Amino acid sequence: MKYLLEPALSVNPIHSDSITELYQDHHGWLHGWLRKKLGCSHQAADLAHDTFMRLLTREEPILIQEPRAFLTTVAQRVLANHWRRKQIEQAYFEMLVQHPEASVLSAEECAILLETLLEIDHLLNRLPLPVKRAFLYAQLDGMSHAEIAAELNISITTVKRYLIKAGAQCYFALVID
Amino acid sequence: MHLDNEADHHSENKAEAPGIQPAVTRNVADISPQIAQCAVEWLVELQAADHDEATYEAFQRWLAAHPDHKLAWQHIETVNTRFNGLTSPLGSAVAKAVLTPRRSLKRRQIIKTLVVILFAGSTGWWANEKIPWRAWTADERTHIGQRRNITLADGSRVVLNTDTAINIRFTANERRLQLVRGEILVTTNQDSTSITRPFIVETAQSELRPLGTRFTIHQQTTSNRLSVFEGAVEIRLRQDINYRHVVQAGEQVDFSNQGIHEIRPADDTSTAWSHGMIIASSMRLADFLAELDRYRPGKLNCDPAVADLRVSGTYPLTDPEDILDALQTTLPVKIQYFTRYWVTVRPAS
Repeated sequence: MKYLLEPALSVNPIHSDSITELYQDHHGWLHGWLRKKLGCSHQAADLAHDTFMRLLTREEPILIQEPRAFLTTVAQRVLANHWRRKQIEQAYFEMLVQHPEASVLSAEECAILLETLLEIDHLLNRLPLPVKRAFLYAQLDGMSHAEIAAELNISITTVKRYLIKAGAQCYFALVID
Repeated sequence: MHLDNEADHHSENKAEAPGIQPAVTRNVADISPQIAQCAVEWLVELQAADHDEATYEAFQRWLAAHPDHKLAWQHIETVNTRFNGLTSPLGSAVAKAVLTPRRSLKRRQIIKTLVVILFAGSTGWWANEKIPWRAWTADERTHIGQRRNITLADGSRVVLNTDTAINIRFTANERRLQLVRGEILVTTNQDSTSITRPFIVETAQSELRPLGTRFTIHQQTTSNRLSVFEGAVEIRLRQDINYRHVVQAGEQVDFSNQGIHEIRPADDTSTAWSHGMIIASSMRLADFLAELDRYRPGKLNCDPAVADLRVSGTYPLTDPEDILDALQTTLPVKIQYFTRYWVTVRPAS
């Protein structure tokens, strides 16, 4: 069976109807697939829900010929985000424990800081570590190119190249959002 | 403004006049990637500490040359605001450590400090019916829902969780903390005196001697739960003076007077309370409510029919009632208040 998914923003009933069909035909299978990956039925249910939410909020129409292959691709992205989020949360709380000055933060401030970290991590996704470091030195500490070059033991030309690369990625990431 | 510049047809004021400039509805997504790239290059150029007046003027000319340039630049400024929350020294340090980790460095930092969490259960060992006054005469305490930070004489820090009492017994030979009731997080620096005095944390069943490490311990009514994150911790039992067990990093163990019952992987999110949060990752509702119960007066009960539902999320502990409300919207449960102090979580239908 083929499914034509129209953009979410259009008021075309075909869209939600075919999502409904896709859901009815494959939700159980997707839930099982995610459960195998996660080892937990409840988390699998949450992520299966997230996967269908992604489809509901997408803007381009898509014609799906292989629904399970397609769902797997979307679910893999949801799953990767899930693991990365857990990893960041863990590193974040380890850091808070190591920084005694962090105990002055209120619970809300801690939560906002974590959300900001997750957002920045998403923006810098897949950039090499030295590129991320150079960019954070410039953005967060206001370090000059020469200072960053000295800190990372690279040339000023390389610093500029890194900053442009990271800056461009952030620029386009937020256009797509 | 350079009036001799032909591109000034598109300058700011004119662009905002309705009807003249169709570009008012132009979206960032419509801007060519080349212009976007130029805007990013300008950002990097202007961030260089050594840029001169001529660079700045050239940038101004570029900005004025086409409305898309301005739009691209506005977008860059939007991007930059995303980083505002992290520009404090703490935010910056945390962001760099979390997003660009350097494993070896981090390990060295941890070895310098010791972090201990101890939990004495709702009925602490000295705070039993026979000697309830102990908790009230302890050196430091918190009430239900409170959290406190204390700096000790040697610079070590202790965070007291809800309903907690401790005694601090520092002598010439040792640095000893007695957990009378509740839960603590201890961060020690190395002893500043010329001889290094051992750091000892005392509970009902045991004495814990950390071996340059970071760990948590949680005391239930008759047992303790110890999680070690870095280094190792030695357990000594009161009732068996020959007993020694060293728990390694990454392990969580339950132990009682008889020794260790169970070993499983350690979960770092159990220290979240020290920042005023509960972090649940697919936690049983019954366990979650038992945890939440510690932060509010009265009794929070869980109907067995919903005990095995799972809870995930990061919950601020500032108002436990808000967390209960949130549960009601995310799970098929309803919160039944007999009184403010007797609350039961039941199935929704």
